[in-house]
Amino acid sequence: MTRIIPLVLGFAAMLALAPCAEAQIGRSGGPLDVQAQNMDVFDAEGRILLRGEVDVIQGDTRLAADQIEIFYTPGGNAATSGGFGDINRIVATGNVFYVTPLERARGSNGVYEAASDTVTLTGDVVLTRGENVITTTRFVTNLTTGNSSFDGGESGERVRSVLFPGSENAGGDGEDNGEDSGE
Amino acid sequence: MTAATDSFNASTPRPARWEPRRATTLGEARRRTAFVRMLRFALIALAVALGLIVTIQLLVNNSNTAPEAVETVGENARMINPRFTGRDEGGAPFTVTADTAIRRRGEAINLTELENPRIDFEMLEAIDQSADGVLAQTGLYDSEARTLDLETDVRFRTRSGYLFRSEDARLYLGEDRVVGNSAVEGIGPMGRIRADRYEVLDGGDHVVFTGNVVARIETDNAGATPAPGTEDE
Repeated sequence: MTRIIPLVLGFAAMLALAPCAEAQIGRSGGPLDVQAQNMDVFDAEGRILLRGEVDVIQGDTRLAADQIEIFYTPGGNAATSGGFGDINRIVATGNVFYVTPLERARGSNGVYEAASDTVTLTGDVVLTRGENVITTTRFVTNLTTGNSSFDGGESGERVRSVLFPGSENAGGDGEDNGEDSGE
Repeated sequence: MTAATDSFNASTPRPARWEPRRATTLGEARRRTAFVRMLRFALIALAVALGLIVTIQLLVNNSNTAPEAVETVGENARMINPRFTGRDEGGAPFTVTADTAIRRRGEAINLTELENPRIDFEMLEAIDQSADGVLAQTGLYDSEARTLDLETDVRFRTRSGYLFRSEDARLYLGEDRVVGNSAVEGIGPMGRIRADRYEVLDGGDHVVFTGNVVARIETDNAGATPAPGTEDE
């Protein structure tokens, strides 16, 4: 048990380290490459609505969902006719996947808040890294501090995890088999 | 007169004054009469024949279709440097001009084909702010429906800052709306976009891209839309 808690915290920390504070969904930052079936741009509202097998890639990080809304502050300078400005919030709905080179997270809904620099996954949340797996209904990670939390949300369901001590990389062998653990 | 002159006069007789030959016999007189009578009949017959020929020709020509009217211009009216004006639902004026225009006649009199159309419209403008300002190579203006169909090398910019390039577009001048049913490439304040179809609503404040949408969203000002006239070709 004493070895499990550090593993859980370390696992959560590894997930939290994936995106950096300045970027929206990825560590490397940069532009967002988007693919979707439909795209509505509400320039006056500062909102973009993407629908239909939405895929957003930033660097080596990928965010996929049935629908993604991007809220931004219209920006610009005197030399340009417009300007995108900064992203304030990203809301993903339906079959949300958040994938980095090391981790893979899945949930029903996902929200990124730029003000708090936090990512929140809700619904049937499943986090995997290699052989390590955590399932919960609510997962919140702070991209600035690296702190993360797992809880049952409104449903109050227990957090379940399968961890392989000593297995730092995907597919690494552990001395002990994983065991279920509650929070 | 001397003998010499007499002999001269005898060798060179004087030419006799011409006189018609007289019919000295009855037979000759009758033959002459018959000849003259024949000539008289021939002359009259010839005159009658000529008259008949002329009459028949006139009758034949009149029985054919009426002579074609001479056309100095085509059925459609062609104009140089045309200008069409109107107002949208909000009362904002618009002006459509072109190099040339051909207005259709008949039932389609409200349609006008345009060559190198241009528009002065609050909602959008040509990408090139030089004296050219052409929206497309060809266009079709409907004065009743207040629409402008653009085809071939369509390029325009919305007032919200989006630049569009496509092969077709329909401008609903009364509704501040633009619809395109062919592939479009756009550059906007948010970055670059490519889609199968597009629609511009609310005067450009709402843009809808449909079908295989691929976009790159630039979140810093380095990726923002360039100023007019400095578009990166």
